[in-house]
Amino acid sequence: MSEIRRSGHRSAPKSRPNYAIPIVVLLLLAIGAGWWFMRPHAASSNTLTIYYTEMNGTTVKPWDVTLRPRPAGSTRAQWAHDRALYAALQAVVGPPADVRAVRFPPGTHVNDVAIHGSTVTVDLSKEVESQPGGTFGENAEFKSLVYSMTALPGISAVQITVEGVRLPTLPGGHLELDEPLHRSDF
Amino acid sequence: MNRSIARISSALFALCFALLCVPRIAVAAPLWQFAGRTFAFTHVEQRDSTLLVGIDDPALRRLFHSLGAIVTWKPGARYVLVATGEPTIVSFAIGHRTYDIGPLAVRSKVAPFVRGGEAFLEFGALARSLGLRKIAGRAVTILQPQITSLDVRDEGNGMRVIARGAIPLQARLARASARQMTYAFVGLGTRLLHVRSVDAGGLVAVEISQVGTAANPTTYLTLDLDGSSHVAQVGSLDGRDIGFVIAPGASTLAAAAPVARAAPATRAAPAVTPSPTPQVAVALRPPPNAELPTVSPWNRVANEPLATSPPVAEVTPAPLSSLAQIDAIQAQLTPNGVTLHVALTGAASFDWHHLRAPDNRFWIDLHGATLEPSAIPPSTSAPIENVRARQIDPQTVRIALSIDGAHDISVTPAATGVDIAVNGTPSLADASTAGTGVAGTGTPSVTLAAAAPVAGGDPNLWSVNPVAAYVPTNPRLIVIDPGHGGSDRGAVRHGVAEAVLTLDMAKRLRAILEARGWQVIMTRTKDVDVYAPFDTAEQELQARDNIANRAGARLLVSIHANAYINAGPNGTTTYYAKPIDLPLARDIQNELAAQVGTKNDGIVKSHLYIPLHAFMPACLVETAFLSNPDDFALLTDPAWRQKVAVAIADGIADYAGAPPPAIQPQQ
Repeated sequence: MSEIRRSGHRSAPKSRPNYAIPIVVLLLLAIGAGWWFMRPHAASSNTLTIYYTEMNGTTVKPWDVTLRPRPAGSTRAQWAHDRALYAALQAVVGPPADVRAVRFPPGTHVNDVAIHGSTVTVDLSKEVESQPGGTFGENAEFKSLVYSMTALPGISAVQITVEGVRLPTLPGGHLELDEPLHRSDF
Repeated sequence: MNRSIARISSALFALCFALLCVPRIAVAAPLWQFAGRTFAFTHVEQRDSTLLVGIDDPALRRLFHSLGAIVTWKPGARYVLVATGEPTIVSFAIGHRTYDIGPLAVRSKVAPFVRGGEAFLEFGALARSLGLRKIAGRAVTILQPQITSLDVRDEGNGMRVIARGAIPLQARLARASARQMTYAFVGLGTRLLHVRSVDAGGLVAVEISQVGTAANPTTYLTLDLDGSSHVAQVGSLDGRDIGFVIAPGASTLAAAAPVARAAPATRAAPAVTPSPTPQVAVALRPPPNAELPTVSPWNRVANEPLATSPPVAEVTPAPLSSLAQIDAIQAQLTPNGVTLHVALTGAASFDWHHLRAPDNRFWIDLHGATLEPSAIPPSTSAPIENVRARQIDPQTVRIALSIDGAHDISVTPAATGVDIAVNGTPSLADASTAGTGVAGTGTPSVTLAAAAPVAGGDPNLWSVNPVAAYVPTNPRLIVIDPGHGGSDRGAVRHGVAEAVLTLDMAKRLRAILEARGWQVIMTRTKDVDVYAPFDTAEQELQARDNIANRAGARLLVSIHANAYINAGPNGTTTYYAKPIDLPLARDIQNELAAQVGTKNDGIVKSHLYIPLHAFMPACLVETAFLSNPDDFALLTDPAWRQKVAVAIADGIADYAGAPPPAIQPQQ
């Protein structure tokens, strides 16, 4: 018995490799990777390109807006959300007053946006349903919104909801809205 | 000694405590006055002698409402976004003193912060952003709405002066002579105190001045004229701005166009600058139009030469008799959830796609199949929110499910159709899936695959196949759809409803086409709903498409009248959605442009329900604008509506030629 114990004593340092260094290295790598992915997205620009539709109802024109300052500590996903919300609100509010643009019905605003992959969902307030009739306004409004949102990096489609509900069309409307809209739809 | 030290220490401690606490103690709310109403904010904080107001404060909310401003913020958000009635977006970042009024960066004294789940903003910064001037009085501080900007533009054939204010503007003509017109804006003040020499387009100078008290100000705008020019006042729908058009040598003022209708400014004269104190509102003025690109690459979508349009694919589809038939879609509750059985007569291949959260959508396309009208999707229970079935092209039926959350779905082909089983238990799987198979053959086969190519927004995910060829089963048949009707009046102006006008034009078109040898079906021949009164727009539009699709018509033309929120836009447009619509839309629009005398607004591609869900070439003609006075006069003229009908018929003739001879039944 004592022989076995002695033998075990002698062989222990040889049979147990030292894991401390690899574990520390892996830990540091994990911390580094975590910081890399969670760090504020320094590379993305504060400038957003927004589009409005001219009064001919079809021609979209860009204008630039800036969202600043970037809050410290916001993650990549938070920053993408902030930018998308700002872009959607700018697109719905439209360009400055003396620029002649087709505008959403008065009072229309953006409740929130959500990004899922390459699709951004823009939730509009119920005022958007107060369309005057005719295809002109609907087409021009959503065209400018789709162009604005798909100008964001990685976004190619825009799903419209109204007060959180996906609608086939606006009441009495003409455009089909229950599918994500793309630039190629216009 | 020790007692003295203790007393001194206690006093110092108390003093420090008081100093630390003072900035955080809510101050007694001062009184404010706006538009004759006195109020106090209740959600207030004071930091460094600066008042901050919580965005949920009831009085602030009422003030926002009065000014047409809307605030966007929710707990956790990093920005407080205020859309003013200007319209401009003011963005405050929590914890940052810099905020933005449109393109202008400004610094507030105190950074916005969040307390108790409510964002607090410096009220001075907010008032300035909203075009309000704070004027302190003995008892109350008056919030005086301002004339925020004044633009003078040379429009080539005259001048235009545009004033904008914090509240909707109403101008009263205070003094008029051949050389001077003075307008009064009651209730508004301004810091734009200046005389500007113009000397162009009949306008010699512009002067703006303010009189009255802080609570009851009046701002005067005086236009000095050269004696031969005339002034017309025009406004926009929201009343936020007012324009004055100065026409040199004009004999009448009544014909002046509204703001939105006027030709674009050729150049913008420098705006009247505020003096002596610069004001933020003036800096809000957007960059001149010249800074915006004059040519957009996307213009080509609408303006591309028609000659370069891609040819329409001419592929002969399989004979209709070889198509399988979907007879029924039945839902059955099972112990594991819900199973949909798609009953099939004949064989059809299929492919299915299941998008995971957040879409939670599933659809299956059955190829070589037609949908029987009686195969109505069933009403279902959780976890299926709804089931939709439609013939997306002559040989493909799509059945789409919206799922309430993440649930596993299995697709099992059978000899009599295909079963779609939705598991009632939420699933943790998050990968989208897809598969293919053949059903109705007696020897079921199925293949599963990952759905990477379609996950996350395939452009054609839910759209009708845009390149599908179409062969009408009745090539002599044309379907005319008079837009709206019944409970849906469409656009209405001065008691004239779009639904009535479109029916009239459709009947006129039917008479012409029938005289030329076409068979014609109208989706409605009376002022009624096609599906049901007070139905949804989707039900109504799909019902109209169904009529054309089931009849196998050669083409579908939907007739409408356009409208907008102001009188500016006018003209005739033909909208289309699918590539096979384009030649038809082009030919009809060309004839309309040549014959009806309205502004030619061209053809426009859009994501419109009617042409998207029609198998055949289809388009939607917006004949003219009810909202435009000139177009309205035309729309209400029967002779003009007849012209429209003739032009559309000629466009159809250009596109389709003469109607094919009727097939005589064999003796």
